[in-house]
Amino acid sequence: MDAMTDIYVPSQMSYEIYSKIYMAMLHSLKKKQTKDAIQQGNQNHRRLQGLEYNSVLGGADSFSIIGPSGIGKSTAIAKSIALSGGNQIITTENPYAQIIPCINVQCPHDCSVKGLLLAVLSQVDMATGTEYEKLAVKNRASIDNLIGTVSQVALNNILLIVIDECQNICRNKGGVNLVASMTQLINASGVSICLVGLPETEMFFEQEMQLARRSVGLSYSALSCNDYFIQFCETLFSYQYVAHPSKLTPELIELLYECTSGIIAILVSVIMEAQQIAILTGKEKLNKETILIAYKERLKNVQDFVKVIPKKRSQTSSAAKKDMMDIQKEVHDDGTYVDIQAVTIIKQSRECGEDVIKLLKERGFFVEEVAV
Amino acid sequence: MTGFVPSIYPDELVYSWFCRYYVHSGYTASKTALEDLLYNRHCNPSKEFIGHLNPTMEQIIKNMYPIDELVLEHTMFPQYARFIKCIKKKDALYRLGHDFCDAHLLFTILPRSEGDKYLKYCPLCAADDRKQYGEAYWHRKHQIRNRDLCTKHRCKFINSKITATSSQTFTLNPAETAIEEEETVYIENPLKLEFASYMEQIFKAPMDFENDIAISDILYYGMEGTKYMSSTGKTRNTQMLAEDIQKYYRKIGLNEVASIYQIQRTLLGSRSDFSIVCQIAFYLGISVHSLLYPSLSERQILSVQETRCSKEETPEDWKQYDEEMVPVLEKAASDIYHGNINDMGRPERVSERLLYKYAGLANHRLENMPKCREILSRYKESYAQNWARRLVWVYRKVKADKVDKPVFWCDIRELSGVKKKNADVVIPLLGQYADKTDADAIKSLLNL
Repeated sequence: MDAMTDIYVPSQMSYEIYSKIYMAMLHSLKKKQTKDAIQQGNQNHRRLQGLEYNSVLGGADSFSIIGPSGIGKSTAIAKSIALSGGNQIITTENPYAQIIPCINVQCPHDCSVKGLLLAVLSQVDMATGTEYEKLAVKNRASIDNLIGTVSQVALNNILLIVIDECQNICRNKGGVNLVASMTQLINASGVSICLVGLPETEMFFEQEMQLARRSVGLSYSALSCNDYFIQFCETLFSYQYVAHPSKLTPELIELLYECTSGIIAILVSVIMEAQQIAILTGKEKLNKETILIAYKERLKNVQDFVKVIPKKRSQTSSAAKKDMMDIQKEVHDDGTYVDIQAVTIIKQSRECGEDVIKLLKERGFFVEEVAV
Repeated sequence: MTGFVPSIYPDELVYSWFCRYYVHSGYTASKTALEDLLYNRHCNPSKEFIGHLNPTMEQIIKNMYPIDELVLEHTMFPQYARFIKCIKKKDALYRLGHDFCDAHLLFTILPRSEGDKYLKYCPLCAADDRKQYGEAYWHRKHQIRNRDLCTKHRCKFINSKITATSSQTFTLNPAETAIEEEETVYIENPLKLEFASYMEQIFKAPMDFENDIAISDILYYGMEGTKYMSSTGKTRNTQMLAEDIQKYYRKIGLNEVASIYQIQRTLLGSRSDFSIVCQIAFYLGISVHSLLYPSLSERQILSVQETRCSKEETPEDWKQYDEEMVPVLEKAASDIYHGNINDMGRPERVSERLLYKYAGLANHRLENMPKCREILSRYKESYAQNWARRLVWVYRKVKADKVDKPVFWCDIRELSGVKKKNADVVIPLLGQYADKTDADAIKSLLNL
């Protein structure tokens, strides 16, 4: 059943990401071993020696791939890199160079510039057998020196650097510093840099023009319930391990969409978990019931983050939402149960001085706070 | 392991190539680059040749360029090996490229003059390099000794601050960093330009590993028909030639003009220094082609050798020569031992040097003459023995001359040349050469 996690169905996003990555690598490769690159190399060396230096290459490719978690950004990037050459080092004999198509690093949780640069050097060392990272650590290289070294290494040996988890930039006050260092690296090496992160990264880059310019790129949201989503569901449904495989109906598609809000990772998880539940409980059928159980019991933590777009559902679908618990009823003197009125609760909160939102939620009302 | 090695530029020194490797490596210190390049941390980078390479780097370099090509076209090999014998040339080429031998063991590398102490560059060539390649580099032909101008731009070379010797070199100094913006000084002297061009053409010409005609023979025939050689060719006026050459090149303004000794040794074939040969050849009007690709017959070469002094002739049969020289050596050794070689008759110590001098032998010949060496061994004595023998002879002579007058130490000292401080080692040996009375008398004079 683990094979389901390896399923990959290319989407429009995949094609765009592949195209972007391929073009970035090509653009970076064209700059290698040119006269400008050699001049830039000499300027980088001057910088390392503490002499006056200039920038020759100027701004290179820098772009972003932004989207919510689970829509398949990292997978699409990995697939694109694999198709573009993957980890195959391009070796030239004269000049002798080992060119790495792509270096994939994670943005440090503390936005440490040194951490990121050492991570890049470490990846280069693993790919080419050099010892840049070991030397940098041994010599206690400063950040300036590290930027110089990484610039030279990137100038000669790297086509594309992918920095994942860029939302860490927004969550840490060192984020601006990190972006500035990346800008310096881009200017000094001519290497393409791809920033991958969640939508909050966009808000960070919108602050300044120079930041916005660096983050021009691809932005995605969760899938809508479109042909691709249906095709993906059909593909997943062809991987049924239960004793009684079921057909994919429009209602099931709708249910799946409501449970996952178009996020592919959650979709795969829901179907996998539903099948496991079906097998373990003996039901041996992938249907609405097992899907709902999987959603309620196994995917509790994601329910807060899956925004359900309310729509008219057919009677066969019975998706339960955590937000919408049953409104409590009050018992009247004659023994009948009547729904509690919202106005009653509001009045009560004013009298007692309690938080009205808390009281409404406790009584089963769905409450959403919005900024005015 | 290394990730990037740049290509070598035309006419670039290997040292300059290594400097650019350091620049583009991203290392902060040249020590790290040297560890990548060289065999171990005790090896210094060589400015004029390749140096002892690290095996990994050696493999990478050999995949990029044939090592022989590197030695021939990117080191100063043509300067030092141009005019030496073919067998030595081939040996040097192999050992420099594959054994990474020290060049001082293969060639005669003279000390540098003031003008050649630093790496030189042409500011206009540097500007051209920056325009074409994006960076300047150390050119090989700019480092030719005793040449200080660029024939392409007709301007003077500038001395950088980087020493040209390899002995005290511990860092890599790239040209791009070392070469600064300097004012260009143009040279108008046509002769100086012509001579510089002459040297450059000889330097750049492909090395000949087949033609083994000695440079002295070529220069000999270059003198034919000039006032420096008689019509028969048997006599050469080297003194006049040297004076004229010195006058000529001083007028041009050459930094280091050949001395008479250097010219003489070159004409006799015992030296083949590039600058000296070029000076002589250029002055005599020998063309580059004639110098590099001479066409002398066997007869002509033989006739040159016949004009040389007889003591330079090597015996054909050493055994026979050894036997013939035994009585000559015996007489010479005996004369030295018994004091027949000087006017006062004082006995001397039989040494190899004195034997060569008084027997008329060329130096080092005894190495090939075992019978004659035996004679030397028979007359062998220590310094102490010789002093004792001398003292005894002097004492007897002085005593005979002075008849009844007392003999003083100063009489002995002047004639014998023996010092009182050596008394300790001499006194025990006096008994071997004199009777007790004379030995005691000499002892008492030494102890005073």
